[in-house]
Amino acid sequence: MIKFSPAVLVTAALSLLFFPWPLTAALVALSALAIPAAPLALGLMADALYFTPGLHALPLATIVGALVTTLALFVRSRLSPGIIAS
Amino acid sequence: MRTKRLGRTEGWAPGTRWSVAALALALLFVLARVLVPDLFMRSVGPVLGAGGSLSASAAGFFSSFGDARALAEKNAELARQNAALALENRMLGERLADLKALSGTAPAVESARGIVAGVLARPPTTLYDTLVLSAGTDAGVYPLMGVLGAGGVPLGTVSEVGAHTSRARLFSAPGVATDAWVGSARIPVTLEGAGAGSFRASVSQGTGISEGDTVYLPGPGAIPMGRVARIAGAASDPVVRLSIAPFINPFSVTWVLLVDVGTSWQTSSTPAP
Repeated sequence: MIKFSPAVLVTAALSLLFFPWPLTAALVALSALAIPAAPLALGLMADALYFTPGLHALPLATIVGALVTTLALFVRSRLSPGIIAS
Repeated sequence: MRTKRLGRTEGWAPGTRWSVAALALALLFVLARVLVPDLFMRSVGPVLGAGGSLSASAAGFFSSFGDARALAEKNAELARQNAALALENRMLGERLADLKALSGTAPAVESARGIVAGVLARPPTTLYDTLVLSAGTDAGVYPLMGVLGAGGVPLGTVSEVGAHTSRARLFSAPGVATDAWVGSARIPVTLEGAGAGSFRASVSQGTGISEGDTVYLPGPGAIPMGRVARIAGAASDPVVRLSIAPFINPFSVTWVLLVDVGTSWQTSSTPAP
């Protein structure tokens, strides 16, 4: 699964343009363990595309992405480095 | 984090490399959106449009696997309904002409003239219940124009305009409150956006609203925009909750008409804090 994470991340980035956002979120969550910054990056990209300043109080995609990235980093720090690298 | 610390190979770990690359690309997106928004949307617009075309093609391809007989029956039924509606429309038009001749007044509602814009991105691809439209200031679009779907059904208002694209906020966006009327008695309600094109509203018990009643937005006259799908609440409750479904599903809207609606819509819609 870890081996395919880059492909999943690229698919998630394309999904941001083509497919419903829950699919994008699921793909990003799949790749988050191997690529912890993926949720934050995709959140930033989603808000760059769809967030309208002044209309929405908060850039929710970026905020949720940052939270998931933090969670992914925490999980990685708790797991054995050998497991992640393999 | 270098992998040397983990006792493995030199250089960045693959996960770290991909993280840095993804963040760099995301920051490039954000900078482009902030510094050169028109160029950014002009670059992304065709890709979004291609996504919409791809979705439509995929839907057409998969629908071809449906039961041919059922499709033929449905087609015949729709043709019958279309003929009946055309007849009813003509009859109503003639009745309106008679009434105008009798009263001698100008029509209250002129046919909407506006700007037709393609929808580049729509929910659920877009977050926040917004539409990305293919018309901008070059086509004469300006903020707070009304967004109408097929049949003149109100969908939202233009919220941000670029040179070649614009964004529209749907009335159904979460946190948006819109004044409306329900039923033939025009009972005033405040619609609360519930996301994904749907609305909620609360009314006092005993107002006479029933499921299937039409919901209208104020404008030039009362503009039908949805119907009451469900009423929740016991007979003893002082207040009942209405679930309102729009006449047009924003998930499948492919084009919209942008019209000047003055101040009749935007003053009644405010984003949530």
